[in-house]
Amino acid sequence: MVLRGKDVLLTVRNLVKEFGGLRAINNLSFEVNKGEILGIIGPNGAGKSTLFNLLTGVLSPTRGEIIFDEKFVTGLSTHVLAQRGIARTFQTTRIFMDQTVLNNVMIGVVPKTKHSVWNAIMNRRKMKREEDGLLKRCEGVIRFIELEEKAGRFAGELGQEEQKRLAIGIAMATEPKLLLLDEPTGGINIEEINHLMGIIRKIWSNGITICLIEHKMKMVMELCERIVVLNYGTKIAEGAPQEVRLNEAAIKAYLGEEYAA
Amino acid sequence: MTRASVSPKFLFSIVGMVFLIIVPEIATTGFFLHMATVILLWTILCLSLNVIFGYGGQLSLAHGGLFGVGAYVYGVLATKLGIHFWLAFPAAGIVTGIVGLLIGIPSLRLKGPYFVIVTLGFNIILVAIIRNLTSLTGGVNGLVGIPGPGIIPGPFFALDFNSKTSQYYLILFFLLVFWLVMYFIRDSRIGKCLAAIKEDEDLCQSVGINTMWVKVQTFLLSSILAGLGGVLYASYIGVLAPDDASFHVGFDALVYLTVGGIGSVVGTILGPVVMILISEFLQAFVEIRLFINGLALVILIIFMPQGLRGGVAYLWKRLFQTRGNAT
Repeated sequence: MVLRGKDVLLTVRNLVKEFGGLRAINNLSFEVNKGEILGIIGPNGAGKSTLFNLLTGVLSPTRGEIIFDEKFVTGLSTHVLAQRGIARTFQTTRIFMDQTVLNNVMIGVVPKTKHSVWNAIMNRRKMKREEDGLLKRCEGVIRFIELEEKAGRFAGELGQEEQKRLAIGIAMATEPKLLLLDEPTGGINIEEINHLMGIIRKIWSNGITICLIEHKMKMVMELCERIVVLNYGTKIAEGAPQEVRLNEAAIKAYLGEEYAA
Repeated sequence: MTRASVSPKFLFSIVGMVFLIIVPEIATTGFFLHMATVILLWTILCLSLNVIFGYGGQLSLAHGGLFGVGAYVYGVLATKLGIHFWLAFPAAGIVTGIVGLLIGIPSLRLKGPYFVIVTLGFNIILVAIIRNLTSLTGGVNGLVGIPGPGIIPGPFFALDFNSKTSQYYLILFFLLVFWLVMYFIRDSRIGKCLAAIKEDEDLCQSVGINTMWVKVQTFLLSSILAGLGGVLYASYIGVLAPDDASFHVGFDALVYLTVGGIGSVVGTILGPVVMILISEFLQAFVEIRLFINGLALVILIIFMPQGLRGGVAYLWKRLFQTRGNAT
């Protein structure tokens, strides 16, 4: 395990999210250090995806605070958080199916550039001149996710795993500081999983901090430096993979009472 | 194919453009020219709807009202205050833009059918205002004697817009400008954002697009275009009634746009041409006119789900490109 300094990128403090009477996230606190891969695991309904929705501003927390990059970001809207550097993928692969791979990635690049109606009509020349730079950035991302041969294809024509790579590519195009991956390997076969894991490692080695929800234990154990285990919205364990593997509460949550030593 | 080929799209545009320009020359009767002018006016409304619905996927049913707002603002400014067309034209555009913002900002927060219904509600409110603001709009009696664009005085020559032919060209000129604006939007980054929002708004937000801001801007532009279309309509027709601002107007535009091809440039004129001509040809058969009109609509939409634009492209491919693909 590589230790890369202890700078904290994201702090979650006493986070609570209630849906009516149901408490989906219960007094959750943890930290994500700069440059690490943190795994978030837990049984179905543990609140993992809810946590991601809170971190990206899709939902706003009932109580508690989120500090990203040394600033309070609790309650900011999704697009602002994305501009600040939090990118994500969704549990069900979400890409723009009716558009080409290149355009998909372009949508990730556009938000940080000027894109108003006024500019579209009045500053066409200037906008066109910038286009080359944007295309170059897109091409870089497409090369990164290894889809350069399919840049002109429609996203809907791609295979499952290619679509998942594209979803990661769209997120990467925003040049994030923190990348939240929600079950990046759901529904694809072993070989493809290895390929995707390679890409996730590549993202990590580029210095981007990654937070990963995953069900496949093998993958989490191999990839993550640290793991947070959730159950019923509460953190029941946290630590390096080897520690969590032996943690009684984690085993109980996953395998049931009788397996706990 | 080895030889440099002109794209059929380009060919069609040139032929169509030439035809639009020579319409007053080949129009044998005043009625023919009138029909052509009415078609252009509908095209402007379809075009404005296309910007927000075709590109952005936000189905606004307030566009009849916005069209009416533009028309009435011009009508009131011209008849009550005697303001010249060329001052009232931009003024009406600005007022419609403001009304568009007032409608857009609350309703664009909603999605899908909720947005549709709220915009419909706003249209009904607009008609109610027009109907009850009797001192300005003439209420249900309507507004009569609205002057045309008249004469633009110039240092060397004056442009006279009193004849029907010159009004046709004036409307055609603005249509071309608006088409250009629409094309610029489609071609731009905001056009890409709109297409993306149309497909998955949440995903757009998650990459950092302020989707609300993009939609509001687009709705503003779309409102202004609809309002300016209304001004041209009022200055051409000369009389206005509250029904001219009714949601039926927006509905008709929606039907024409659907028939023409949602989200395409040429579709905005193909729809009005076909639907208005069908409806005119059926004037002779009063009893079954609406029935046939409806039937034609159903058949067109079933067999050409992408509208005439898609249908024509498909036929063109079948007829002329089979050989090209083989080689």
